[in-house]
Amino acid sequence: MNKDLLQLHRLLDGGLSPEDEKDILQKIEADPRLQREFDGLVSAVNLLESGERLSVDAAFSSEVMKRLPVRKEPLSTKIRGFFFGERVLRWNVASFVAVSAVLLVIIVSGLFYQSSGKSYRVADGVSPGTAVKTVSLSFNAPEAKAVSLAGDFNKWSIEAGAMKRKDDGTWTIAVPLKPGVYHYMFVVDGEGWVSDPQAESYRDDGFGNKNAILRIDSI
Amino acid sequence: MKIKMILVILGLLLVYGISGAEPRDLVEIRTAIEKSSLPGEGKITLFKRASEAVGTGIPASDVAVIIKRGVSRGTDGKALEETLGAAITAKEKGLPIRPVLDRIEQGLAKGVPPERIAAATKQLVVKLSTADAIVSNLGKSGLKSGEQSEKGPAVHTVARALEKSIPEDAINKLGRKSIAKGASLSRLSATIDTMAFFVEMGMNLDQASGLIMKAMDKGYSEGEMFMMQKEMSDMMRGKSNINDIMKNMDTMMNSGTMGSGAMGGKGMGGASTSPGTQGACGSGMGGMGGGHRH
Amino acid sequence: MTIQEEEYSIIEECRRGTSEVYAVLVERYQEMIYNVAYRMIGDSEAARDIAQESFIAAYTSLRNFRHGSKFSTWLCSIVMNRCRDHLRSQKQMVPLDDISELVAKGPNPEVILSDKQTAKDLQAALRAMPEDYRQVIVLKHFEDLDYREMEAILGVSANALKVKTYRAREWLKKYIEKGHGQDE
Repeated sequence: MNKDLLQLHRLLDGGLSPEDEKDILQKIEADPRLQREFDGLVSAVNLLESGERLSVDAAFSSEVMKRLPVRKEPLSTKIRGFFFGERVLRWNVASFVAVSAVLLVIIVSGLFYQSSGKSYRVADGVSPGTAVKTVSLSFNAPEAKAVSLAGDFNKWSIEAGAMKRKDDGTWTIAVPLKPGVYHYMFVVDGEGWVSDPQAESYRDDGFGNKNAILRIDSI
Repeated sequence: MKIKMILVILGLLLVYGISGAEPRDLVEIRTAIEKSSLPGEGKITLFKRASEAVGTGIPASDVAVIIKRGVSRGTDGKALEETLGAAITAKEKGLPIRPVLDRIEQGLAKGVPPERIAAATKQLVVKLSTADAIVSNLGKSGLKSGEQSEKGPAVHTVARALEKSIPEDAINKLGRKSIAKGASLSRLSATIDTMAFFVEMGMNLDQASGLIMKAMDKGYSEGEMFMMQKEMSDMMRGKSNINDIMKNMDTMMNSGTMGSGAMGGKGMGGASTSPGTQGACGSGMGGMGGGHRH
Repeated sequence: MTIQEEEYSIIEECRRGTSEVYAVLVERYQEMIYNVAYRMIGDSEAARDIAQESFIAAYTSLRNFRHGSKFSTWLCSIVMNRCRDHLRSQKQMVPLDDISELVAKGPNPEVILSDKQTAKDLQAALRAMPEDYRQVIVLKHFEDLDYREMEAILGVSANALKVKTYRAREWLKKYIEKGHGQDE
């Protein structure tokens, strides 16, 4: 391949210095044969660049993931898991099908606990300089022996969030919190995790459950 | 007992080696492991991992909570070690550590199987590192961020969106739009959070994108973005049809009655829904963090 | 954290057994790999299969992936190998009716080709092109890679690949001038 022709290709690659670029472009203008070569190459490249990018269908990646080799679980582990495995919360949240079951159980447990009382959120006086608000939360569960508030503000500790029972069967707690967004759930009798029915909204917890959201704005 | 001696020695090394860590937490860690039903070898490796975690700067109080809850299960400790390993990785990479610790503590408290906690934690760390790259790139492309402290929560929000299968492209698109509008990182964060919320509630990507883009065009503030989430939750209590809800949201936005600022910026008054709606906690859709594939 | 660092951490996770995170890499590169396969073998169904198999093959041999190289590069070399095997087993020849259709068209100065026609011509041109030319053309002009990356994918020196690319373009220029594909 002669020198000029090489330069044409380098020009197409965009790898020429400004001087060399100027040089070859001038040569192209001056030499009809080189011009024809160049036009031909440009046509070729244009044809290539006319190619559209094909898109991949939505099922592609999930199909790949399904076909990946799986680590085999020994049978003994499976059996042990069935009999002795920890149940996640009070219901099996391990499948999508359970979504409606979750709703059902919440309704059922909600009826059981008669959580018809509102959760009071009282913004108390703000201590000057700390911007901490004291928030009261309540949950109606007359049949429960113990209710706790567990959330990201107390490292999800059942012990730290122990609530007090009032005569009418509602359980309450007052929590000092700085402005921000908090996730929490109520825990009944140390093991039943329940979303607060009166929360302003809910977010997934990464394990298939819904945490209640508490948002505290600064004044 | 030999194991006890080793743990005591490691514990002493830990106490002397790490300044700033409360001795009480370290003692708790050691005691919890000693008292557990883990095999001897397992106790040593778990203790080493816990020490490593504290050594990288993860608060000892969190490690103590994780260890105490983790060993009370009587599992073989491997999953717990892996979980702490993921937290160590996150800390070493400078990723926000609070969301990682929160996920672990939450899973352990809620009785999630340890292997699942390990997997979910590792997954979160991966998403956080992708999110970190995305946020850094947006910063380089001109996204304003106020204080340094805004970055961590923003990275967490992006990671959560990625967990909901919102594509990187969609997030970058929102980022570029924010840059063009001169919006800040914290407002973009609220935008992405709201988009992830919509997807969690059952909208597909197009529906969620459409609403979000509209909100951005209207220049919604952070507070107004969060107001959209609240409005949607309220609507979920009544209706279960996502398309109806979408139409409502759209109408409210067009007429300007959404997030009009009347309630924006205030805390929660006791203005909850009427009694007797105990069942409809708004958890009808979404289920596990599967998100929506489009 | 760079994309490359992030990918390394994903790969580490997969090596330790958490397969779910692999989906990140699949989604990131699925379009690229599919397009490479399609342009190489010209059959969209088969290209989809090859692309999927390449991801699965990459996953099962992740232990062979060396830090310091790019995952996309490695993935590309896997798909290129599979394409080569596929073509070998198919012994791809340009179907006779396609050639006659192209030849009959001839050089025609004023014809404006529709998109569909151009796409057909492009695919026909690629099919007719010798395989080693097709490789460099696909990587250079469809995937916009530089010669260094192509070197890592194809295992041939960047300079040799440069020359090959130039020759491939020359080939395509002649192919067009003979009356195939675009006019003029």
